[in-house]
Amino acid sequence: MSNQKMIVASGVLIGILAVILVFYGNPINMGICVACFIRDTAGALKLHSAPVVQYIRPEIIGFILGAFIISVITKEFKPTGGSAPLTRFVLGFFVMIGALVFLGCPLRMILRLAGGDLNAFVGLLGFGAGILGGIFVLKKGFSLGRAYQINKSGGFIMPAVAIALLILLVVSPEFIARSIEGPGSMAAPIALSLGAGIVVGIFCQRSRLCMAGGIRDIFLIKNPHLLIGFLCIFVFAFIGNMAMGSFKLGFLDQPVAHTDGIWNFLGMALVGLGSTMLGGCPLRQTILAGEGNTDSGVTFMGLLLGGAFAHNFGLAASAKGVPMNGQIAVIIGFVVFALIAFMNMKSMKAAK
Amino acid sequence: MVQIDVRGLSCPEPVLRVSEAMKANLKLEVIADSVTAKENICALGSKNGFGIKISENNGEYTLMLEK
Repeated sequence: MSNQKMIVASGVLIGILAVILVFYGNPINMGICVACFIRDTAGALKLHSAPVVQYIRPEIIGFILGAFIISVITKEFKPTGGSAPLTRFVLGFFVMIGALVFLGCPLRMILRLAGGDLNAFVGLLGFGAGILGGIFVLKKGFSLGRAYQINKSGGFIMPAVAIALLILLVVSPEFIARSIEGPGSMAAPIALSLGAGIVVGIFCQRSRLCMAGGIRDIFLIKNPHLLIGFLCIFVFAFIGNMAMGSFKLGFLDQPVAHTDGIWNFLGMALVGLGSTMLGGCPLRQTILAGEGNTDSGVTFMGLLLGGAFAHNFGLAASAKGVPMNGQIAVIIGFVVFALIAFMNMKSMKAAK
Repeated sequence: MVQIDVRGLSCPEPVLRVSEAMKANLKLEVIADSVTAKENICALGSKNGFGIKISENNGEYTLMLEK
């Protein structure tokens, strides 16, 4: 399949699967959300104790295993690491904070838009603004440095983590938490969620689909390739929502969403900036983690800890709005990102 | 001819570096170590009218771009 067809197929598949997953039980407009699902997984592992968002999401396991399996088959599985891992951890941490202030990763932002949630349009504007900020620092020579090939065992860690999570999900020992109400309790059957995750993982590994990359490449290199996938997700989720009768246009009373425009904008701006500095959105980081990129594996751990902090310290938004702690955390995120950007620019390195 | 080593760099740095070098050079040799970087640089080269020859050695790609 050509690259063009692959990106279209990935977008179409995600759009359709997201609607199917909602039909079979996932929260509305949350057929797939990388940030929310990593946060739910953090809760199931009791890294946070918010009872409404605790569930080991099989989709996340599927993304990693799908990317792992297909990259082994195509001989693209390549354990690498060493490109500023702790810096990436911090970027991942604050990307998660931004996503949970908005209430969704860039993928869920598109799914929310396709469901008629106009708050997500405000988020999209913020996401675009954050990406423009990221392009600015990239043009100034920002780089987190090279990754190098590492011992093969390192690349197997994230797939092993995914398998361990799958075992914990299926065996369901007492120490694993599971929501009995709220978004964490709403879930499609495990086999369907896992299967959908694996299929998405395979297609996203092949197509390199990236939400941040779609907008970034339009501005940076005038290449619409990745944006096509982004648009296909929107179109097919929109058609699916219309067919299911779940499309509801407006700002008010949208599922798992709030109407605070400023923080919808700023939350996603933080996600856009961080994702551009990382070289990919949370979905892309998860896929890369599956194909042996241990720097993305570390980023995934940053996302996981960000999800835990967001609910342990009252940072995450809810339908009621964004708590003060969350607003402060987003501002701190921008300051931290600015410092990371400044300290990793070429001019700074040349001065050393 | 200019040589550019994009091995181990995150997206979109490989494309950015090659794109920058294309402004001043008609002949480039690029060394990449990921299929993604290889594909993106090929797309960039084709778009800008460069002829491309690719050779692979043990997971590393050498791309000769010439206009």
